[in-house]
Amino acid sequence: MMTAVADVSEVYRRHADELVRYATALVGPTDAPDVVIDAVMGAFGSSGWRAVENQRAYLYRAVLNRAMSVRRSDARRAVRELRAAAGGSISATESSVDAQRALTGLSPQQRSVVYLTYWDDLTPAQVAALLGVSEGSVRKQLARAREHLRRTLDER
Amino acid sequence: MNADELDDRLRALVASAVADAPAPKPLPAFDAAAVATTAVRPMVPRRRPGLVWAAVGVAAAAAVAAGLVWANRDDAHRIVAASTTSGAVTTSAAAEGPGWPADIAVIVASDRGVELVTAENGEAVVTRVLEPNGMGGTSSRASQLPDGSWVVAYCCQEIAAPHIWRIAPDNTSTGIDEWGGDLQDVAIDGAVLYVEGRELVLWVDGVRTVLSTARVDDVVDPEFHLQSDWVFGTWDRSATEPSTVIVDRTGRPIDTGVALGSVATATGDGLQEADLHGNGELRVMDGKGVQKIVQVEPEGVISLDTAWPYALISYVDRPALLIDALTDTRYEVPIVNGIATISMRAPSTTAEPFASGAAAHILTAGPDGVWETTAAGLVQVTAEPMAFAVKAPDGSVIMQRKVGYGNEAWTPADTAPLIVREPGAALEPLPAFVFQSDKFVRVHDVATLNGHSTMLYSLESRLVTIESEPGVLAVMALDTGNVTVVSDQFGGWESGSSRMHLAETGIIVGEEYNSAERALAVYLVGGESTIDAWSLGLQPSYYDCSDCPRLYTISRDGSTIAWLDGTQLVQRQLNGAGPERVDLSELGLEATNLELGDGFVLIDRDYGVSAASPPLSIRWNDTDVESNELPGVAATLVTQPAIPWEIDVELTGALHGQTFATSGELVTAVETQIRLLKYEEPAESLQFRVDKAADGSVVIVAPNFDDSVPTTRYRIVLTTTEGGRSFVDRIDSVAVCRDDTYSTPQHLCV
Repeated sequence: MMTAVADVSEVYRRHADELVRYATALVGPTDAPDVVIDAVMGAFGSSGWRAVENQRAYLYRAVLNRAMSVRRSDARRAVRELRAAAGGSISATESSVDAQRALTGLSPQQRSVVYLTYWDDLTPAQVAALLGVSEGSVRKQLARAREHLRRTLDER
Repeated sequence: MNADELDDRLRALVASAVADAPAPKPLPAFDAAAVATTAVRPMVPRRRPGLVWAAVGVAAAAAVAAGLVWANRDDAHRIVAASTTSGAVTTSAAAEGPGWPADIAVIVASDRGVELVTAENGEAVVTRVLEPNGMGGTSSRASQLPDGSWVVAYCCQEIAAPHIWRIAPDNTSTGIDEWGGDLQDVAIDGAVLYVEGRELVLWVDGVRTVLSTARVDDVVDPEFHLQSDWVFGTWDRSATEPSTVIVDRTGRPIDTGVALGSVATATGDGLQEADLHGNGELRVMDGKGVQKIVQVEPEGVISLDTAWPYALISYVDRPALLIDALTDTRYEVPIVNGIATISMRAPSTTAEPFASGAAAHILTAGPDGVWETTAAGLVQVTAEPMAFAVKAPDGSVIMQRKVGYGNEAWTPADTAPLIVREPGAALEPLPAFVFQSDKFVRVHDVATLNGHSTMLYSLESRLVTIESEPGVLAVMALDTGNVTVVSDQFGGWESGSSRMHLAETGIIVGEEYNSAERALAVYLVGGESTIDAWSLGLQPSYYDCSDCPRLYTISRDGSTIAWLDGTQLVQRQLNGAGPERVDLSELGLEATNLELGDGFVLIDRDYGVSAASPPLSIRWNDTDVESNELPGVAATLVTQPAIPWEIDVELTGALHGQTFATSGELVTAVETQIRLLKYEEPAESLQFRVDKAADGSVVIVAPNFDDSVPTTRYRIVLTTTEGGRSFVDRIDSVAVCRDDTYSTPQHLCV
């Protein structure tokens, strides 16, 4: 039987890459590793961690929560600066920076849904199961995100 | 662009966005030991000055049920939750300054969950009411409604739970927003206002109404407030000139152009308001035309709340600040950061998720001496090992090294009552008590009887044969030494009693036994009690059973008799109400003594000098029973002496019969008279503090500039006529010593 430390180290090793990639879609590459570390340390240190059945889903939700918290506080200024800088067009073969700028107009929930839909190829039901929300909510967020991104891409 | 083309573009967009995803950081050192896997052990507080209680939940599964925690007085401020499995968490330093007002409770939401700040004996006490679940979300805001319900966001939920939810007092929860809502405000009627994406949403009893939609795509910094029938705020508080949105509860615009402070708020009923401007000017309004303006630090303000005369400011990087605008008294919230709100629930019922008793004033005796536990911390009365101690109403502590007849284990001299007049003072023989070298003494209780501190005790002879002389139960007035014998046939061969309890009505209640027969014992000092077993629904006696009704006791005020029946605590009012039963589970079976507090009981488990089974304090609410281990071997409840208010002739003469339109005007008028009449050189700069007495009267705390008597408290006693008008009946006053005792002719401040 693994010890608690080995347990969480193994969980982190197994999911760290995908969580950082997910966080990159949510907050950008600069803050993503820190968001993931903060999220997983909070999860591992919580009293309820041992009772969690779907650890991967729990960590995805923790990263999303953390991303939203960051956005509420420290990232406010950064978001505004990024928004101000995002005046250019997005080409058909977007650079990473351009793609980030396009996603900036989405809420973290919408980014999360877009990422899981278009990167992980999950269905709305699968996204809902992973994030612990209703499928209807996922479909609503996805529809709003698609509409926003369609307008952004059409304006180029 | 058709749907498939859009999907292709978005797939490419996302791939590009995460193409430069960085490598994960290494996992920092993780302290697995900090995450306990079993329930927190009860922490005996005797070696932790300042840690009043460390609670263990016997059945504390309910999320709202948390233990009393403490973050004050000593240098190692700790916070310990009852229902968590985590260890102690260091929190903020203690708030310096004027303590904490009794009439307000503050809630702080942060990544540590939701914590409640209330007053106990004038000091701030922090209770963690909701634990964070480690899902990484910072609890953005929490509110408590008048019925005790909580509305919280981003905190403490399980994975499939909503982001904003309401938790009722019975712990049932209702989802308000599933995902990502930014909680803005909660009205006194339970309506919840939040921002989701670009929409401002009002939730009322499950019905969601979109009140407004932002014009910008990315809403970063909204601030909205909810009043009884309208909503105001802005989509971007950080803008240089934020545009205001003012709509009714259906979303219909009702006004524009109202200037907001850089931060503003209003109470749920919309009557009382506060706003803070960029120059640091904080305006607090009582809704009846009175407003107070004070100056505060405007940098880093993230939230404002109000409840006249208070304003509560949350800062982004430091503790929130509670300001009494009437007196400009400032109280730093003793929590490092977070968004603070003012509870809409009456403070008297917010401090403890369980019934009262969390901050009970308890005296314990044991091998490590005698300790007094209060909300303000632990005080060692003496380091001498003691088997029993009880505090007299005059503040002295009466104690015994051994209790009662000890066969050959100890001598009568070991049972001589001793007294310590104040903590740390020398042990003395109890004056006026006539010790008899052949009598074992057992001190049972002390209470105020006919104005005298009165000790209840029994004397027992060495029991050699069935012919041995029975014992005596008696009371002695501690000030005069007058003794009244209650029974001269107390105990005896193969007989004995539990600890007997003395009420201020003169009724004495306990249990007597003879061989295997046990019975309720009731006496009345100076008379004959009319209370008997039948009147309480009991048998006259019970024979040879260990879980029959037993360990009878009476509340200090004489209103309630209680006992244990099997695992149940039974309480019966002497006015006929009841009985009320609480199942204490196996804890009830362990008791060797029972003492009744207000919503809690103390039980001893070993009536001897043994640390194996320390006493417990047990309290309960509708669903749970919680026990806390106490130090030592025997615990007694300390009855707080009444505050010796005296009519202040000068102030009463100046104010008697006057009426005032608002409480603010009343306070101002009394303060003016105090300045005029109580100080040789009246100074406007005198700082008063407004407090409340236990009876709800307004109290003004004034400085004395005297080290030994630092403050005087003035109580404003109002009388209401049949027509509903209130006028000043009188002003009482009492001088308060440095150690929080009161200066009286019998007790002068040192």
